[in-house]
Amino acid sequence: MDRTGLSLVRFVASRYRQLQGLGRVVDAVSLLLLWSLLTTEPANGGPLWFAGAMVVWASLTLWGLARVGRYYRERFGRTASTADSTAGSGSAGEVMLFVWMSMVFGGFFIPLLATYAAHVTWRDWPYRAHWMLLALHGTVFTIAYPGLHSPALFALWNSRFVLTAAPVIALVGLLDHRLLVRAMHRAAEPTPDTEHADTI
Amino acid sequence: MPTPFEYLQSLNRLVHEPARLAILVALSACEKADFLFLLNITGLTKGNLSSHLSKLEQAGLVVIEKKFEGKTPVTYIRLTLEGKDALKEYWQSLEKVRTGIRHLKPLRTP
Repeated sequence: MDRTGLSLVRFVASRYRQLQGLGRVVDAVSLLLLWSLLTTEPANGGPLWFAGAMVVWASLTLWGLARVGRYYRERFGRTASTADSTAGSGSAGEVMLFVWMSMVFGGFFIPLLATYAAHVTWRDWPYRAHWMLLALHGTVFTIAYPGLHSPALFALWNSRFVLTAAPVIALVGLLDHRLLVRAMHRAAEPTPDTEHADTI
Repeated sequence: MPTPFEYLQSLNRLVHEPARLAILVALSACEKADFLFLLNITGLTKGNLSSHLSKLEQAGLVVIEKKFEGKTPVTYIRLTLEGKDALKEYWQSLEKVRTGIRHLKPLRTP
């Protein structure tokens, strides 16, 4: 195993949970689901409808995340990492928090999303350069922010933000997943010096 | 002052072996990892990984913990303080070799 291979091993071991990108796909679907539930609420829906919708949304999201977690545990194993627990379990928490907050509080959190994505890009360069997409997306929507004085414009901007954020989050997640699979796959290719244990 | 080749000879052979080095590097990057994770990240076979881990455990560089998570048996491997020190010393020795080689002058042939 060469130096590049060793640095990849180190990187994957330290960021294992964050690289479990299928969780981001679940987040993206969950975001779209929540947005659809909120925008298609019937006029006479009332609090009961809203509560029911929230329960369905939360159950589906938690079920999806649990399935993804189980897949990674059974396919690639488990680690306990201080980097993972202190830097946030998978950036997912932070990303989705910023997106939810942006939806609820009118876009003020989008600059934070862009900054966070830029931070991940810089911290994990060059492996997770694809996080630049999320940083770029956040920056574009920050610049295009129409303000709260025009509700119609804001609603249009908000729906565009959600409809484009979900695919970008899913894509970033898939690229994280691909990075993890390739790192493992690459490592799993037997090389002459790893085929037989030596006698030391 | 020792020559780079003397540093090279003093490298810890237990750490220097590529598969064990990969195991130690992976473990140094996280608190602990299970057997399946190390199997995937190093690309070793189960037998080889097991054999390398036994040697590292005998040398006191790693600790192997077997436990149940629910009904699933999980084997966790953790780097000990000695393991961390051994890896640190190994990198320092390699760095000395690298620095020493940089200062070597090519031999003049008549």
